[in-house]
Amino acid sequence: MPSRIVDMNTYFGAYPRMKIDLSLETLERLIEQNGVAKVVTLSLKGVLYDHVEGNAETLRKCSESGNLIPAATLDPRKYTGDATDVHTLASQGFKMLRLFPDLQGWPLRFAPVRSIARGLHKTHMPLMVNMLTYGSATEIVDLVGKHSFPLILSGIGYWVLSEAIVLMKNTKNVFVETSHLDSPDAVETLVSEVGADRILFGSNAPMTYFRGPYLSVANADISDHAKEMIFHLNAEKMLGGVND
Amino acid sequence: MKIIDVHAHYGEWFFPIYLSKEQHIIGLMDRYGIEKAVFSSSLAIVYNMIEGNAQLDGFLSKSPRFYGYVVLNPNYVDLSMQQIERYLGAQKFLGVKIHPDYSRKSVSCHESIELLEKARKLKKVALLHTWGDEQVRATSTVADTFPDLTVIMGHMGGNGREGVGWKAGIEAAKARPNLYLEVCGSTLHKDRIKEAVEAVGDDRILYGSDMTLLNPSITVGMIEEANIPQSSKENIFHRNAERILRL
Repeated sequence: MPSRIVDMNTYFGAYPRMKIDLSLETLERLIEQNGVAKVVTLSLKGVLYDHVEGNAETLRKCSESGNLIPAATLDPRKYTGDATDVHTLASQGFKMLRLFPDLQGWPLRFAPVRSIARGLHKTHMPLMVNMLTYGSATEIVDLVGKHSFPLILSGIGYWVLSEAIVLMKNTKNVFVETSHLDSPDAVETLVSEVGADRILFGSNAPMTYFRGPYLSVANADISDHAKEMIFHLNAEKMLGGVND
Repeated sequence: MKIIDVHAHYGEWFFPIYLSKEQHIIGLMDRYGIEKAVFSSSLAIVYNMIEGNAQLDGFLSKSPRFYGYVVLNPNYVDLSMQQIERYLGAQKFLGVKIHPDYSRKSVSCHESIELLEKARKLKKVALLHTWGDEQVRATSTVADTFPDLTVIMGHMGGNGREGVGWKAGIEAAKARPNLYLEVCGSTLHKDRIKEAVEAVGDDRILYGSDMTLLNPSITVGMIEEANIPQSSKENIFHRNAERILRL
């Protein structure tokens, strides 16, 4: 059992594409049931409808709960290239920016993403990007990996694990989160190949079950200190100022 | 809680997974409380059925906790029939497995049906990889064609982040008493187990991990977390498998 859990990958809101309960109440219940100290979260309104309204909702909800750390999102289909938008988000208290090409349907090699990356470069805010398929991680690292802000690959499963490892070996500011690390020795392999300091715990809750990714790390054949790094220390270091 | 895993694999993968030795597999089973597991050969599925099934036969003799499926390839009906003759009489082989993605042949094509008829006659079960609406329909056709064959729908219809094949799988199983839902997958939407239990009942859902491709943590965690009665979890984790596989 880790001393503390910071979950880097959660969200809340409505979901029109299937019947599923992604309410904030459900997320908060999961936090309590699983002894999670903090979750980085955002409203899906910003992903599926309008990022301005969604980010405002994220900030409002996070201000009402000490467990919630706000992540912002920008929709590249709407973003027209003003880097000050990213600065504004940082000044509003957002700790991370997330992009969702999987849910929004745009290609990774997309001019607005370059512009967003330039804004992040100045603020040093971490960026988490959901992966699509083979080559997605390679494309996003080619596009934004030259900047010094942390780039977190989300959705890395067995099929793209080799891709992630090679990228992480060559680009020091690339990280992975754990929600889709689904092969039996994925955590051990990553720790041995790139180090525990490059892995962040993420569950993808409440879209998917929390306990699977939790057990994958908790039961991994790695040191207790490595588990503490993955479960919270790396996140706390990256996000800064998220302790109680 | 005791666990019987009806969907496991033995062999290498073309991914960075390094758990193909017996001791690795036993270690993984012990870590998650898996008492027995039914394996198919990854080599037989993705490359060479004959070599893979033979390799699996040797592996099964290494532990009383290991059982197997004979992998069949409907592109090679005669050879598949020979594989059935060779292995399916053995106590350790509990059924057949067909994976349509690698053979590029549907589980309901006439060649597959011919092979499954043989399994039915021998009173063995069939584990059919099922991913997405089209494959759910094919697996359902098999269940309709052979009402006395126990058909296990792999991944309960599957689909990842956006797809909802598992919802179609649940609908298909509702109407077919010989169709069982096996639960494994990579992206497991919350409430899929609760929805399955409410629609189908807890006596036709089977625990499967897809190890060594997938970590049993994913599916053990899912069943543990599912908002269903403890007795339903026991049925899914082991009782249903013990009943249909006569373990």
